[in-house]
Amino acid sequence: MSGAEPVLEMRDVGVELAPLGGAARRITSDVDLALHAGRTLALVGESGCGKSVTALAAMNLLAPPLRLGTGHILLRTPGAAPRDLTRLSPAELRAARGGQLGMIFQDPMTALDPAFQVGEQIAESLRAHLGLSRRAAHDRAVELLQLVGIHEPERRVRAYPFQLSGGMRQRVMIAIAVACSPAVLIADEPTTALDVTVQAQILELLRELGARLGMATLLITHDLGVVAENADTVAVMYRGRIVERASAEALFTAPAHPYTRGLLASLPPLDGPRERLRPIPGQVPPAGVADADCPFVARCPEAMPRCLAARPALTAIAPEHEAACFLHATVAA
Amino acid sequence: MLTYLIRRTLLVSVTIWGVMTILFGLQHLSGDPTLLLLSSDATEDARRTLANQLGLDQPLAAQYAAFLWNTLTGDLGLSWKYHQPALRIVLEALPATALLTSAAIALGLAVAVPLGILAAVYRNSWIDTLASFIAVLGQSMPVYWSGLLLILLFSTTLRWLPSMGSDGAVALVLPAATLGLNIMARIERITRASMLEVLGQDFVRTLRSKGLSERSVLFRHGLRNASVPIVSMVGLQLSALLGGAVLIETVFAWPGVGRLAVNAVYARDFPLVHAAALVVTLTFCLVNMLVDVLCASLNPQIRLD
Repeated sequence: MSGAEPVLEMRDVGVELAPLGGAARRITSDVDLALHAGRTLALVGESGCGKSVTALAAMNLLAPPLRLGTGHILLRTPGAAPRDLTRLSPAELRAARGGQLGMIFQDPMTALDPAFQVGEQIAESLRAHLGLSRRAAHDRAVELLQLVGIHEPERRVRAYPFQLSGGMRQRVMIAIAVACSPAVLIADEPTTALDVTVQAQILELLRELGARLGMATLLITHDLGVVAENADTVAVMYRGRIVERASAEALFTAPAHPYTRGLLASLPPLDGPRERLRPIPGQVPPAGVADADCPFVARCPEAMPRCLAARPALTAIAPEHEAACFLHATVAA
Repeated sequence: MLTYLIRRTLLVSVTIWGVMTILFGLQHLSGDPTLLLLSSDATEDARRTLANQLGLDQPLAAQYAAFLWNTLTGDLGLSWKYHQPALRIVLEALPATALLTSAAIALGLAVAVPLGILAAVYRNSWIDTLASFIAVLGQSMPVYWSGLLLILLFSTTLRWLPSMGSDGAVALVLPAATLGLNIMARIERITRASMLEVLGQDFVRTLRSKGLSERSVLFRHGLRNASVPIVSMVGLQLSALLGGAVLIETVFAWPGVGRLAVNAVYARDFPLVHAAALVVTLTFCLVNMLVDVLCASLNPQIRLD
């Protein structure tokens, strides 16, 4: 996809749900993702497919009962040896989070500390990572608010989160995430909780910042419209596994996995006759990965006997296009 | 802020009027004080003379009016028992109560807040279990009993500390520790609950994603957000104790307001009861007001709404 080595690489990442006193259950498995500088990878899938836990895993930010079961997360920043986030000491991990890795969360209403002014919440990151003085951090916080498109930043810097609208809070969240010019930006459904008009503005801002700061962006979303407009490459996730990976263009023009096709077919057409929406039949089974059969077999319109007997692996079906489906096994073979 | 203070002052006045009215009613329901003030073989004449001196032969409405007027002017008259200004007696006992209360609260806070935070951070671990055990123990042992146990251990058996009186700092240790244990239990539980709630919120994940130190996450952000219920609980304890830690003052013969008030009630010393009730009510209102102001300063949402 890109010649250069990825800035952040998730290899074979599997997240487990380990409730107190209960048996651990895998909820994602074999997740491989590579983020390249200046490019956006979209991770799409339905609710509960494991997108958000993958985002948290990328920051090594899983908290009990969730934990990283398998895998490595390699961070390559200029002028430093590649580091495996799963092997860093707590202090090294803290330096990476907020420093080289920035994260934006889904719900800006709850993601900010209600008892602190937004300026302070930006400034404390600057102070922790860049060692700025109180004064300098405050001034930089004002600049960052300006950068994310907040009017009257000198005044807003003293506002508390509850005094700001949802869109403005998400802008503050973005300012926090990019405060220390991170190499990687992880945005977990950054627009899901916002009004449609605000969504477009926030995505525009993310695109612009990504280009300006050369960040590698992981954009988690369930909205294929967002993917089409913002992503360079796309990974489709279903039941804790990546079932298809391709450039955005290839995915929309030649979707390979029946699940991806179903997702695209369920979108209402903008032109042409109005018809009933076409849902993918069936329900997403409960979280947890299975190994014995194809995860999509129960809902797949093209299921074959062998889909029940074994799980198809993610294989290349075209240059820069991979799918985990037996329909394409002959092509690959 | 000014309107707030004016409104609060008005509310305090209404509270005091209410408490005073109830007190007046109770005093007059509790029987004729002259029977207790005079020896049992006193003549009816002597009793009537005394009632006349104390104003008890006046119509009830007139007594009530005088009672309220005295409350308003702060002139509560002489204690019938000690023949000294009642208010002065109470005010002289107040520092002892304040000292005991603040020592107990300080002791309770010093142990409870760190313990509560630890219990929340390491919930369901042995630390949490230990903290719960201490909390249950502290809260379920009545202070007169735990006080006696401490006296038995440290005064009677080990002879390290005095069991009574108020001479010097050593005399403060046992009563403050007894009360402190009880208060600590309550504050620990509310600290744990409040911290658990805060640490489960989304913004804590944001703080960690920013790479902040655990100290900053727990104390700067966590405790700040968890502080309003803790401060409210401390305020409740503080006002309750300033009103007289009656039991503890009795067990340790501590010369505070609580013991004074109870003795005054037994002696039917109306002016002294009146003075004690007035001082306690005022302290209560004042502490509550301070707690409200403190909570507002800790939580911008309360402050700015």
